[in-house]
Amino acid sequence: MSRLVYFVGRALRGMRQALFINVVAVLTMAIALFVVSVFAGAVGQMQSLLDAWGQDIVVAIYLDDDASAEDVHRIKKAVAFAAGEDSRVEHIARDEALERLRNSLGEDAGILEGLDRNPLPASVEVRGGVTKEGPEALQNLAELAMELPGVTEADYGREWVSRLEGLITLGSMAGFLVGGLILLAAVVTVSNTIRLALFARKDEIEIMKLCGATDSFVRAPFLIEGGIQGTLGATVALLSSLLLWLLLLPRIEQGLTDAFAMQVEVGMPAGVLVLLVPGGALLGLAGAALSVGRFLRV
Amino acid sequence: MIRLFNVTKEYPGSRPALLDVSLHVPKGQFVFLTGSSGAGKTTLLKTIFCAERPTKGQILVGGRNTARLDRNRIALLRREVGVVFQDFKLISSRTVGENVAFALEVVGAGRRTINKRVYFLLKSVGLEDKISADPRTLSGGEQQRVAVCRALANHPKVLLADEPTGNLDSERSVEIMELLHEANARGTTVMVATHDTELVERFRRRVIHLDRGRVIEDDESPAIFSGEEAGPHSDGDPGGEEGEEAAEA
Ligand SMILES: Nc1ncnc2c1ncn2[C@@H]1O[C@H](COP(=O)(O)OP(=O)(O)O)[C@@H](O)[C@H]1O
Ligand SMILES: [Mg+2]
Repeated sequence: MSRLVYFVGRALRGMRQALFINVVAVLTMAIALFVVSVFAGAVGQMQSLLDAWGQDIVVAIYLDDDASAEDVHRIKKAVAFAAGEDSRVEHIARDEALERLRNSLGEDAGILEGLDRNPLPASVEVRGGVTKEGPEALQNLAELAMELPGVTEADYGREWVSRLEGLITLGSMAGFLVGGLILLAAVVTVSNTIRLALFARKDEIEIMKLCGATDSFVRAPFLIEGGIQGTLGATVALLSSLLLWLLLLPRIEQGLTDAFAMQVEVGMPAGVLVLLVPGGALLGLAGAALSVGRFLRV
Repeated sequence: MIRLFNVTKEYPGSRPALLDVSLHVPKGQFVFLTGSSGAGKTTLLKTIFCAERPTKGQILVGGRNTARLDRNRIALLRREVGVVFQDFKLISSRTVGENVAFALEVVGAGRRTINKRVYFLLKSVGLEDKISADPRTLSGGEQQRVAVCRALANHPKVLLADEPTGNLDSERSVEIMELLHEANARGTTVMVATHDTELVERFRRRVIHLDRGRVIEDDESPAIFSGEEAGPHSDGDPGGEEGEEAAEA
Protein backbone atom coordinates (compact mmCIF):
# COMPACT_ATOMS: atom_id res chain seq x y z
CA MET A 1 0.00 0.00 0.00
CA SER A 2 2.65 2.52 1.02
CA ARG A 3 4.54 1.25 -2.03
CA LEU A 4 1.64 2.22 -4.27
CA VAL A 5 1.43 5.65 -2.63
CA TYR A 6 5.15 6.05 -3.23
CA PHE A 7 4.87 5.12 -6.92
CA VAL A 8 1.84 7.35 -7.46
CA GLY A 9 3.75 10.18 -5.80
CA ARG A 10 6.68 9.63 -8.14
CA ALA A 11 4.33 9.51 -11.13
CA LEU A 12 2.59 12.74 -10.14
CA ARG A 13 5.93 14.41 -9.54
CA GLY A 14 7.04 13.34 -13.01
CA MET A 15 3.81 14.65 -14.52
CA ARG A 16 4.29 18.00 -12.81
CA GLN A 17 7.80 18.26 -14.21
CA ALA A 18 6.45 17.97 -17.75
CA LEU A 19 3.08 19.58 -17.21
CA PHE A 20 2.45 20.77 -20.74
CA ILE A 21 2.95 17.50 -22.59
CA ASN A 22 0.96 15.73 -19.90
CA VAL A 23 -1.95 18.10 -20.40
CA VAL A 24 -1.72 17.50 -24.13
CA ALA A 25 -1.77 13.73 -23.61
CA VAL A 26 -4.75 13.94 -21.25
CA LEU A 27 -6.68 16.14 -23.66
CA THR A 28 -5.89 13.88 -26.61
CA MET A 29 -7.14 10.94 -24.61
CA ALA A 30 -10.22 12.93 -23.57
CA ILE A 31 -11.10 13.95 -27.12
CA ALA A 32 -10.55 10.46 -28.50
CA LEU A 33 -12.64 8.80 -25.81
CA PHE A 34 -15.33 11.47 -26.08
CA VAL A 35 -15.73 11.02 -29.83
CA VAL A 36 -15.69 7.25 -29.56
CA SER A 37 -18.09 7.12 -26.62
CA VAL A 38 -20.59 9.49 -28.20
CA PHE A 39 -20.46 7.52 -31.40
CA ALA A 40 -20.71 4.13 -29.70
CA GLY A 41 -23.51 5.50 -27.58
CA ALA A 42 -25.40 6.73 -30.63
CA VAL A 43 -25.01 3.43 -32.47
CA GLY A 44 -26.08 1.54 -29.37
CA GLN A 45 -29.13 3.72 -28.96
CA MET A 46 -30.13 3.32 -32.57
CA GLN A 47 -29.73 -0.40 -32.30
CA SER A 48 -31.89 -0.64 -29.22
CA LEU A 49 -34.44 1.69 -30.78
CA LEU A 50 -34.58 -0.58 -33.78
CA ASP A 51 -34.96 -3.60 -31.54
CA ALA A 52 -37.82 -1.85 -29.79
CA TRP A 53 -39.47 -1.11 -33.11
CA GLY A 54 -38.86 -4.70 -34.12
CA GLN A 55 -41.26 -5.64 -31.31
CA ASP A 56 -43.76 -3.35 -32.91
CA ILE A 57 -43.51 -4.50 -36.49
CA VAL A 58 -46.89 -5.28 -37.96
CA VAL A 59 -47.49 -7.44 -40.97
CA ALA A 60 -50.69 -6.16 -42.49
CA ILE A 61 -52.58 -8.64 -44.66
CA TYR A 62 -55.24 -6.84 -46.69
CA LEU A 63 -58.39 -8.67 -47.53
CA ASP A 64 -60.56 -8.77 -50.56
CA ASP A 65 -63.83 -6.86 -50.01
CA ASP A 66 -65.68 -10.07 -50.95
CA ALA A 67 -63.90 -12.21 -48.37
CA SER A 68 -66.38 -14.13 -46.23
CA ALA A 69 -66.24 -14.51 -42.48
CA GLU A 70 -65.16 -18.05 -43.10
CA ASP A 71 -62.30 -16.87 -45.31
CA VAL A 72 -61.22 -14.47 -42.59
CA HIS A 73 -61.31 -17.26 -40.05
CA ARG A 74 -59.14 -19.51 -42.23
CA ILE A 75 -56.67 -16.72 -42.95
CA LYS A 76 -56.33 -15.93 -39.27
CA LYS A 77 -55.72 -19.57 -38.41
CA ALA A 78 -53.17 -20.10 -41.20
CA VAL A 79 -51.27 -16.94 -40.41
CA ALA A 80 -51.25 -17.53 -36.66
CA PHE A 81 -49.82 -20.99 -37.29
CA ALA A 82 -47.13 -19.63 -39.62
CA ALA A 83 -46.21 -16.73 -37.33
CA GLY A 84 -45.56 -19.02 -34.39
CA GLU A 85 -46.74 -19.46 -30.86
CA ASP A 86 -46.38 -16.07 -29.30
CA SER A 87 -47.81 -14.18 -32.21
CA ARG A 88 -50.94 -12.08 -32.04
CA VAL A 89 -53.33 -11.98 -34.94
CA GLU A 90 -56.07 -9.42 -35.11
CA HIS A 91 -58.84 -8.80 -37.61
CA ILE A 92 -59.46 -5.16 -38.47
CA ALA A 93 -62.79 -4.61 -40.13
CA ARG A 94 -63.20 -1.82 -42.66
CA ASP A 95 -65.09 0.48 -40.29
CA GLU A 96 -62.46 -0.01 -37.65
CA ALA A 97 -59.69 0.82 -40.12
CA LEU A 98 -61.40 4.06 -41.00
CA GLU A 99 -61.90 4.88 -37.33
CA ARG A 100 -58.20 4.39 -36.67
CA LEU A 101 -57.25 6.57 -39.57
CA ARG A 102 -59.56 9.25 -38.29
CA ASN A 103 -57.96 9.05 -34.84
CA SER A 104 -54.43 9.21 -36.13
CA LEU A 105 -55.24 12.23 -38.28
CA GLY A 106 -56.54 14.06 -35.27
CA GLU A 107 -57.31 17.66 -36.19
CA ASP A 108 -56.91 16.87 -39.86
CA ALA A 109 -59.68 14.31 -39.74
CA GLY A 110 -61.86 16.79 -41.58
CA ILE A 111 -60.45 15.70 -44.91
CA LEU A 112 -62.24 12.38 -44.48
CA GLU A 113 -65.64 14.14 -44.43
CA GLY A 114 -65.65 14.42 -48.21
CA LEU A 115 -65.62 10.65 -48.70
CA ASP A 116 -68.94 9.10 -49.72
CA ARG A 117 -67.77 5.55 -49.03
CA ASN A 118 -65.06 3.87 -46.95
CA PRO A 119 -61.99 3.39 -49.21
CA LEU A 120 -60.07 1.22 -46.74
CA PRO A 121 -59.87 -2.57 -47.02
CA ALA A 122 -60.31 -4.90 -44.10
CA SER A 123 -57.12 -6.49 -42.88
CA VAL A 124 -55.52 -9.06 -40.60
CA GLU A 125 -52.59 -7.70 -38.53
CA VAL A 126 -49.85 -9.97 -37.23
CA ARG A 127 -47.56 -8.99 -34.38
CA GLY A 128 -44.83 -10.87 -32.45
CA GLY A 129 -43.82 -14.43 -33.28
CA VAL A 130 -41.55 -14.69 -36.29
CA THR A 131 -42.09 -11.03 -37.15
CA LYS A 132 -39.36 -10.27 -34.61
CA GLU A 133 -36.87 -12.44 -36.42
CA GLY A 134 -35.79 -10.00 -39.08
CA PRO A 135 -36.49 -9.11 -42.71
CA GLU A 136 -36.29 -12.65 -44.06
CA ALA A 137 -38.90 -14.08 -41.72
CA LEU A 138 -41.18 -11.16 -42.52
CA GLN A 139 -40.76 -11.77 -46.21
CA ASN A 140 -41.65 -15.45 -45.83
CA LEU A 141 -44.70 -14.70 -43.76
CA ALA A 142 -45.90 -12.10 -46.27
CA GLU A 143 -45.42 -14.46 -49.21
CA LEU A 144 -47.29 -17.22 -47.45
CA ALA A 145 -50.19 -14.92 -46.70
CA MET A 146 -50.40 -13.79 -50.33
CA GLU A 147 -51.08 -17.36 -51.40
CA LEU A 148 -54.21 -17.58 -49.28
CA PRO A 149 -57.60 -17.06 -50.93
CA GLY A 150 -59.20 -13.75 -50.04
CA VAL A 151 -55.90 -11.94 -49.57
CA THR A 152 -55.04 -9.07 -51.90
CA GLU A 153 -51.82 -7.80 -50.43
CA ALA A 154 -49.40 -8.28 -47.54
CA ASP A 155 -47.24 -5.45 -46.34
CA TYR A 156 -44.67 -4.94 -43.61
CA GLY A 157 -42.66 -1.90 -44.71
CA ARG A 158 -39.82 -4.20 -45.64
CA GLU A 159 -37.67 -1.63 -47.40
CA TRP A 160 -37.73 0.77 -44.55
CA VAL A 161 -36.66 -1.88 -42.04
CA SER A 162 -33.88 -3.43 -44.04
CA ARG A 163 -32.55 -0.09 -45.20
CA LEU A 164 -32.29 1.16 -41.64
CA GLU A 165 -30.58 -2.03 -40.52
CA GLY A 166 -28.10 -1.81 -43.37
CA LEU A 167 -27.41 1.79 -42.54
CA ILE A 168 -26.71 0.99 -38.91
CA THR A 169 -24.43 -1.91 -39.81
CA LEU A 170 -22.49 0.24 -42.26
CA GLY A 171 -22.36 3.11 -39.80
CA SER A 172 -21.06 1.00 -36.97
CA MET A 173 -18.43 -0.65 -39.17
CA ALA A 174 -17.14 2.73 -40.32
CA GLY A 175 -17.39 3.93 -36.76
CA PHE A 176 -15.39 1.06 -35.33
CA LEU A 177 -12.70 1.67 -37.90
CA VAL A 178 -12.48 5.41 -37.32
CA GLY A 179 -12.92 4.98 -33.57
CA GLY A 180 -10.15 2.40 -33.51
CA LEU A 181 -7.82 4.77 -35.32
CA ILE A 182 -8.67 7.61 -32.96
CA LEU A 183 -8.03 5.40 -29.92
CA LEU A 184 -4.78 4.20 -31.44
CA ALA A 185 -3.71 7.81 -31.88
CA ALA A 186 -4.50 8.45 -28.21
CA VAL A 187 -2.48 5.42 -27.11
CA VAL A 188 0.44 6.56 -29.25
CA THR A 189 0.24 10.03 -27.72
CA VAL A 190 0.43 8.61 -24.21
CA SER A 191 3.21 6.31 -25.31
CA ASN A 192 5.20 9.26 -26.66
CA THR A 193 4.65 11.26 -23.51
CA ILE A 194 5.99 8.40 -21.46
CA ARG A 195 8.93 8.00 -23.81
CA LEU A 196 9.78 11.68 -23.35
CA ALA A 197 9.49 11.23 -19.60
CA LEU A 198 11.82 8.23 -19.78
CA PHE A 199 14.38 10.24 -21.75
CA ALA A 200 14.04 13.24 -19.45
CA ARG A 201 14.72 11.00 -16.46
CA LYS A 202 17.38 8.85 -18.05
CA ASP A 203 19.98 9.84 -15.49
CA GLU A 204 17.59 9.16 -12.67
CA ILE A 205 16.82 5.72 -14.07
CA GLU A 206 20.51 4.95 -14.47
CA ILE A 207 21.17 5.90 -10.87
CA MET A 208 18.16 3.93 -9.66
CA LYS A 209 19.56 0.86 -11.35
CA LEU A 210 23.02 1.46 -9.89
CA CYS A 211 21.42 1.65 -6.46
CA GLY A 212 19.86 -1.76 -7.05
CA ALA A 213 16.35 -0.92 -8.26
CA THR A 214 14.56 -3.85 -9.88
CA ASP A 215 13.04 -3.42 -13.34
CA SER A 216 9.54 -3.36 -11.94
CA PHE A 217 10.51 -0.68 -9.45
CA VAL A 218 11.85 1.47 -12.29
CA ARG A 219 8.82 0.81 -14.48
CA ALA A 220 5.99 1.22 -12.01
CA PRO A 221 5.91 5.04 -11.83
CA PHE A 222 5.90 5.35 -15.61
CA LEU A 223 3.13 2.79 -16.03
CA ILE A 224 1.13 4.58 -13.35
CA GLU A 225 1.77 7.87 -15.12
CA GLY A 226 0.22 6.43 -18.30
CA GLY A 227 -2.66 5.03 -16.27
CA ILE A 228 -3.28 8.41 -14.67
CA GLN A 229 -3.24 10.15 -18.05
CA GLY A 230 -5.79 7.65 -19.36
CA THR A 231 -7.97 7.95 -16.27
CA LEU A 232 -7.94 11.76 -16.31
CA GLY A 233 -8.65 11.84 -20.05
CA ALA A 234 -11.51 9.37 -19.60
CA THR A 235 -12.95 11.39 -16.73
CA VAL A 236 -13.00 14.53 -18.88
CA ALA A 237 -14.60 12.49 -21.69
CA LEU A 238 -17.16 11.01 -19.30
CA LEU A 239 -18.22 14.41 -17.96
CA SER A 240 -18.46 15.86 -21.47
CA SER A 241 -20.46 12.88 -22.70
CA LEU A 242 -22.83 13.09 -19.74
CA LEU A 243 -23.34 16.78 -20.38
CA LEU A 244 -23.92 16.18 -24.07
CA TRP A 245 -26.46 13.42 -23.48
CA LEU A 246 -28.23 15.44 -20.82
CA LEU A 247 -28.56 18.35 -23.23
CA LEU A 248 -29.40 16.29 -26.30
CA LEU A 249 -31.60 13.51 -24.96
CA PRO A 250 -34.80 15.52 -24.49
CA ARG A 251 -34.43 16.93 -28.00
CA ILE A 252 -33.73 13.55 -29.54
CA GLU A 253 -36.71 12.02 -27.79
CA GLN A 254 -38.93 14.91 -28.81
CA GLY A 255 -37.71 14.68 -32.39
CA LEU A 256 -38.32 10.94 -32.59
CA THR A 257 -41.69 11.24 -30.90
CA ASP A 258 -42.73 13.83 -33.48
CA ALA A 259 -41.31 11.89 -36.40
CA PHE A 260 -42.90 8.54 -35.58
CA ALA A 261 -46.05 9.78 -33.93
CA MET A 262 -45.39 7.60 -30.89
CA GLN A 263 -43.80 8.06 -27.52
CA VAL A 264 -40.05 7.24 -27.80
CA GLU A 265 -37.75 6.91 -24.80
CA VAL A 266 -34.05 6.74 -25.48
CA GLY A 267 -32.18 6.99 -22.15
CA MET A 268 -28.43 7.28 -21.51
CA PRO A 269 -26.05 4.78 -23.15
CA ALA A 270 -25.12 3.52 -19.67
CA GLY A 271 -22.95 0.64 -20.84
CA VAL A 272 -20.65 2.89 -22.81
CA LEU A 273 -20.39 5.47 -20.04
CA VAL A 274 -19.61 2.88 -17.38
CA LEU A 275 -16.79 1.44 -19.49
CA LEU A 276 -15.24 4.82 -20.21
CA VAL A 277 -13.00 5.33 -17.16
CA PRO A 278 -11.67 1.78 -16.79
CA GLY A 279 -11.18 1.69 -20.54
CA GLY A 280 -9.25 4.95 -20.48
CA ALA A 281 -7.05 3.72 -17.62
CA LEU A 282 -6.25 0.53 -19.55
CA LEU A 283 -5.45 2.43 -22.74
CA GLY A 284 -3.13 4.77 -20.85
CA LEU A 285 -1.45 1.80 -19.21
CA ALA A 286 -1.05 0.12 -22.59
CA GLY A 287 0.48 3.26 -24.08
CA ALA A 288 2.96 3.51 -21.23
CA ALA A 289 3.78 -0.19 -21.43
CA LEU A 290 4.65 0.23 -25.11
CA SER A 291 7.39 2.73 -24.28
CA VAL A 292 8.53 1.34 -20.97
CA GLY A 293 8.95 -2.17 -22.30
CA ARG A 294 11.13 -1.03 -25.14
CA PHE A 295 13.14 1.51 -23.19
CA LEU A 296 14.20 -0.72 -20.33
CA ARG A 297 15.40 -3.67 -22.40
CA VAL A 298 19.02 -2.64 -22.08
CA MET B 1 34.92 -10.60 -1.40
CA ILE B 2 35.83 -9.94 -5.04
CA ARG B 3 37.45 -12.55 -7.26
CA LEU B 4 38.21 -12.33 -10.95
CA PHE B 5 39.23 -15.43 -12.90
CA ASN B 6 40.88 -14.84 -16.28
CA VAL B 7 38.57 -11.99 -17.12
CA THR B 8 38.76 -10.59 -20.64
CA LYS B 9 36.54 -7.80 -21.90
CA GLU B 10 36.45 -6.83 -25.53
CA TYR B 11 34.34 -3.96 -26.79
CA PRO B 12 33.37 -4.42 -30.41
CA GLY B 13 36.01 -3.21 -32.81
CA SER B 14 38.90 -2.43 -30.50
CA ARG B 15 41.70 -4.17 -28.64
CA PRO B 16 40.64 -5.86 -25.38
CA ALA B 17 39.92 -3.40 -22.55
CA LEU B 18 40.76 -6.17 -20.08
CA LEU B 19 42.98 -9.12 -20.89
CA ASP B 20 43.09 -12.25 -18.77
CA VAL B 21 42.76 -10.45 -15.45
CA SER B 22 42.76 -12.56 -12.30
CA LEU B 23 42.72 -11.07 -8.85
CA HIS B 24 41.38 -11.52 -5.35
CA VAL B 25 40.32 -8.76 -3.02
CA PRO B 26 39.60 -10.19 0.45
CA LYS B 27 36.80 -8.93 2.65
CA GLY B 28 37.64 -5.63 4.34
CA GLN B 29 40.58 -4.77 2.13
CA PHE B 30 41.31 -1.36 0.61
CA VAL B 31 42.72 -1.46 -2.92
CA PHE B 32 43.89 1.17 -5.36
CA LEU B 33 43.43 0.42 -9.02
CA THR B 34 45.94 2.47 -10.98
CA GLY B 35 46.97 2.88 -14.58
CA SER B 36 47.00 5.52 -17.24
CA SER B 37 43.89 6.61 -19.07
CA GLY B 38 42.51 3.77 -21.18
CA ALA B 39 44.21 1.09 -19.11
CA GLY B 40 40.89 -0.56 -18.27
CA LYS B 41 40.18 0.66 -14.73
CA THR B 42 36.61 1.77 -15.43
CA THR B 43 35.89 -1.40 -17.35
CA LEU B 44 37.15 -3.54 -14.48
CA LEU B 45 34.87 -1.75 -11.99
CA LYS B 46 31.93 -1.98 -14.41
CA THR B 47 32.26 -5.73 -14.70
CA ILE B 48 32.17 -5.97 -10.91
CA PHE B 49 28.90 -4.04 -10.56
CA CYS B 50 27.49 -5.76 -13.62
CA ALA B 51 27.26 -2.72 -15.87
CA GLU B 52 29.32 -4.73 -18.36
CA ARG B 53 29.55 -8.47 -18.84
CA PRO B 54 33.01 -9.94 -19.33
CA THR B 55 33.67 -11.51 -22.73
CA LYS B 56 35.53 -14.35 -21.04
CA GLY B 57 36.18 -15.40 -17.47
CA GLN B 58 34.22 -15.40 -14.22
CA ILE B 59 33.65 -12.85 -11.49
CA LEU B 60 32.59 -13.64 -7.95
CA VAL B 61 31.24 -10.85 -5.77
CA GLY B 62 30.42 -11.86 -2.22
CA GLY B 63 30.40 -15.46 -3.38
CA ARG B 64 27.97 -14.87 -6.24
CA ASN B 65 28.97 -15.58 -9.81
CA THR B 66 27.91 -12.50 -11.72
CA ALA B 67 27.59 -14.39 -15.00
CA ARG B 68 24.77 -16.47 -13.52
CA LEU B 69 22.68 -13.57 -12.24
CA ASP B 70 19.43 -12.55 -13.92
CA ARG B 71 18.32 -8.91 -13.93
CA ASN B 72 16.58 -9.12 -10.58
CA ARG B 73 19.55 -10.77 -8.89
CA ILE B 74 21.85 -8.15 -10.36
CA ALA B 75 19.63 -5.52 -8.75
CA LEU B 76 19.96 -7.31 -5.42
CA LEU B 77 23.74 -7.57 -5.82
CA ARG B 78 23.99 -3.85 -6.49
CA ARG B 79 22.39 -3.12 -3.15
CA GLU B 80 25.54 -4.57 -1.63
CA VAL B 81 27.88 -2.66 -3.91
CA GLY B 82 28.07 1.13 -3.53
CA VAL B 83 29.52 3.07 -6.46
CA VAL B 84 31.04 6.55 -6.61
CA PHE B 85 31.90 8.28 -9.88
CA GLN B 86 34.19 11.08 -10.98
CA ASP B 87 31.21 13.21 -12.07
CA PHE B 88 29.18 12.55 -8.87
CA LYS B 89 26.01 11.62 -10.78
CA LEU B 90 23.65 13.50 -8.50
CA ILE B 91 20.12 14.13 -9.78
CA SER B 92 19.76 17.86 -10.28
CA SER B 93 15.97 17.92 -9.96
CA ARG B 94 16.20 16.59 -6.41
CA THR B 95 17.54 18.01 -3.21
CA VAL B 96 20.72 16.78 -1.56
CA GLY B 97 18.68 14.82 0.97
CA GLU B 98 16.48 13.29 -1.73
CA ASN B 99 19.56 12.20 -3.64
CA VAL B 100 20.80 10.23 -0.65
CA ALA B 101 17.27 9.00 0.13
CA PHE B 102 17.01 7.66 -3.40
CA ALA B 103 19.25 4.67 -2.66
CA LEU B 104 17.06 3.80 0.32
CA GLU B 105 13.76 4.24 -1.53
CA VAL B 106 15.01 1.82 -4.15
CA VAL B 107 15.34 -0.95 -1.58
CA GLY B 108 11.93 -0.16 -0.13
CA ALA B 109 12.94 1.38 3.20
CA GLY B 110 10.25 3.17 5.21
CA ARG B 111 10.00 6.95 5.33
CA ARG B 112 11.12 7.28 8.96
CA THR B 113 14.09 4.98 8.50
CA ILE B 114 15.08 6.90 5.40
CA ASN B 115 14.87 10.30 7.08
CA LYS B 116 16.95 9.16 10.04
CA ARG B 117 19.57 7.48 7.90
CA VAL B 118 19.86 10.40 5.45
CA TYR B 119 20.35 12.86 8.28
CA PHE B 120 22.92 10.63 9.93
CA LEU B 121 24.88 10.17 6.70
CA LEU B 122 24.90 13.85 5.77
CA LYS B 123 25.89 14.80 9.30
CA SER B 124 28.79 12.36 9.16
CA VAL B 125 30.20 14.32 6.20
CA GLY B 126 29.32 17.71 7.66
CA LEU B 127 26.54 18.50 5.17
CA GLU B 128 23.43 18.18 7.32
CA ASP B 129 22.69 21.89 6.75
CA LYS B 130 22.55 21.31 3.00
CA ILE B 131 19.89 18.60 3.21
CA SER B 132 17.32 20.71 1.33
CA ALA B 133 19.78 22.37 -1.03
CA ASP B 134 19.90 21.93 -4.80
CA PRO B 135 23.01 19.78 -5.41
CA ARG B 136 24.13 22.14 -8.18
CA THR B 137 24.71 24.88 -5.63
CA LEU B 138 27.30 22.73 -3.82
CA SER B 139 31.03 22.72 -4.49
CA GLY B 140 32.57 19.71 -6.23
CA GLY B 141 33.95 18.36 -2.98
CA GLU B 142 30.57 18.72 -1.28
CA GLN B 143 28.78 17.01 -4.17
CA GLN B 144 31.18 14.09 -4.00
CA ARG B 145 30.59 13.78 -0.26
CA VAL B 146 26.86 13.55 -0.99
CA ALA B 147 27.59 10.89 -3.59
CA VAL B 148 29.62 8.91 -1.05
CA CYS B 149 26.69 9.16 1.39
CA ARG B 150 24.39 7.74 -1.28
CA ALA B 151 26.82 4.91 -2.04
CA LEU B 152 27.04 4.02 1.65
CA ALA B 153 23.34 4.38 2.40
CA ASN B 154 22.54 0.68 2.25
CA HIS B 155 25.57 -0.48 4.27
CA PRO B 156 27.21 -2.00 1.19
CA LYS B 157 29.74 -4.77 1.60
CA VAL B 158 31.74 -3.34 -1.27
CA LEU B 159 32.41 0.27 -2.23
CA LEU B 160 33.73 0.98 -5.72
CA ALA B 161 35.01 4.44 -6.62
CA ASP B 162 35.98 5.41 -10.17
CA GLU B 163 38.34 8.42 -10.10
CA PRO B 164 36.38 9.87 -7.18
CA THR B 165 38.82 12.76 -6.85
CA GLY B 166 39.31 13.37 -10.55
CA ASN B 167 37.38 16.66 -10.51
CA LEU B 168 38.65 17.89 -7.12
CA ASP B 169 41.63 19.88 -5.88
CA SER B 170 44.13 18.04 -3.68
CA GLU B 171 42.68 19.20 -0.36
CA ARG B 172 39.12 18.06 -1.29
CA SER B 173 40.63 14.86 -2.68
CA VAL B 174 42.15 14.00 0.67
CA GLU B 175 38.79 14.64 2.38
CA ILE B 176 37.05 12.20 0.04
CA MET B 177 39.78 9.59 0.44
CA GLU B 178 39.40 9.86 4.18
CA LEU B 179 35.67 9.18 3.88
CA LEU B 180 36.46 6.07 1.85
CA HIS B 181 38.95 4.99 4.47
CA GLU B 182 36.45 5.46 7.24
CA ALA B 183 34.03 3.23 5.35
CA ASN B 184 36.81 0.68 5.00
CA ALA B 185 37.57 0.95 8.72
CA ARG B 186 33.95 -0.04 9.37
CA GLY B 187 34.47 -3.20 7.36
CA THR B 188 33.53 -2.27 3.81
CA THR B 189 35.75 -3.64 1.07
CA VAL B 190 36.89 -0.63 -0.97
CA MET B 191 38.29 -0.43 -4.49
CA VAL B 192 39.39 2.96 -5.80
CA ALA B 193 40.41 3.54 -9.41
CA THR B 194 42.68 6.55 -9.77
CA HIS B 195 45.64 7.81 -11.69
CA ASP B 196 46.53 10.28 -8.93
CA THR B 197 49.89 8.81 -7.82
CA GLU B 198 50.25 11.42 -5.09
CA LEU B 199 47.13 10.12 -3.36
CA VAL B 200 48.20 6.52 -3.79
CA GLU B 201 51.54 7.21 -2.13
CA ARG B 202 49.97 9.22 0.64
CA PHE B 203 47.54 6.47 1.65
CA ARG B 204 49.88 3.53 1.08
CA ARG B 205 47.55 0.59 0.43
CA ARG B 206 47.49 -2.36 -1.90
CA VAL B 207 47.96 -1.18 -5.48
CA ILE B 208 46.83 -3.10 -8.56
CA HIS B 209 48.38 -1.52 -11.62
CA LEU B 210 46.77 -1.99 -15.03
CA ASP B 211 48.33 -1.35 -18.38
CA ARG B 212 46.44 -1.86 -21.61
CA GLY B 213 44.04 -4.24 -19.93
CA ARG B 214 46.61 -6.37 -18.08
CA VAL B 215 47.55 -6.45 -14.44
CA ILE B 216 51.25 -5.65 -14.61
CA GLU B 217 51.85 -5.04 -10.91
CA ASP B 218 50.05 -6.07 -7.73
CA ASP B 219 51.74 -4.59 -4.71
CA GLU B 220 50.25 -5.93 -1.49
CA SER B 221 53.04 -4.71 0.79
CA PRO B 222 51.94 -1.14 1.58
CA ALA B 223 48.79 -2.36 3.25
CA ILE B 224 50.67 -4.85 5.35
CA PHE B 225 52.93 -2.17 6.79
CA SER B 226 50.39 0.60 7.21
CA GLY B 227 50.24 0.38 10.97
CA GLU B 228 47.67 2.78 12.32
CA GLU B 229 44.76 1.84 10.06
CA ALA B 230 45.21 -1.90 10.25
CA GLY B 231 42.54 -4.28 11.48
CA PRO B 232 39.44 -3.09 9.63
CA HIS B 233 37.68 -6.35 10.47
CA SER B 234 37.70 -5.66 14.19
CA ASP B 235 34.87 -3.12 14.31
CA GLY B 236 32.21 -4.22 11.88
CA ASP B 237 29.87 -1.88 10.07
CA PRO B 238 26.63 -2.40 11.97
CA GLY B 239 28.06 -2.11 15.48
CA GLY B 240 30.16 0.92 14.72
CA GLU B 241 27.41 2.87 13.04
CA GLU B 242 24.55 2.06 15.31
CA GLY B 243 26.65 3.43 18.13
CA GLU B 244 27.11 6.70 16.29
CA GLU B 245 23.48 6.79 15.24
CA ALA B 246 22.33 6.39 18.82
CA ALA B 247 24.72 9.06 20.05
CA GLU B 248 23.39 11.48 17.45
CA ALA B 249 19.71 10.79 18.09
N1 LIG C 1 31.74 1.49 -24.08
C1 LIG C 1 32.91 1.28 -24.73
N2 LIG C 1 32.90 0.93 -26.03
C2 LIG C 1 34.05 0.72 -26.70
N3 LIG C 1 35.25 0.84 -26.14
C3 LIG C 1 35.34 1.19 -24.84
C4 LIG C 1 34.16 1.44 -24.08
N4 LIG C 1 34.53 1.76 -22.82
C5 LIG C 1 35.89 1.72 -22.80
N5 LIG C 1 36.37 1.38 -24.01
C6 LIG C 1 37.76 1.20 -24.36
O1 LIG C 1 38.30 0.27 -23.44
C7 LIG C 1 39.58 0.67 -23.04
C8 LIG C 1 39.63 0.80 -21.53
O2 LIG C 1 38.81 1.88 -21.15
P1 LIG C 1 38.51 2.25 -19.63
O3 LIG C 1 38.10 1.02 -18.93
O4 LIG C 1 37.55 3.38 -19.63
O5 LIG C 1 39.92 2.73 -19.11
P2 LIG C 1 40.27 3.70 -17.90
O6 LIG C 1 39.09 3.80 -17.02
O7 LIG C 1 41.44 3.04 -17.26
O8 LIG C 1 40.63 5.01 -18.50
C9 LIG C 1 39.91 1.96 -23.77
O9 LIG C 1 40.66 1.63 -24.91
C10 LIG C 1 38.56 2.47 -24.17
O10 LIG C 1 38.64 3.19 -25.37
MG1 LIG D 1 38.05 5.47 -16.44
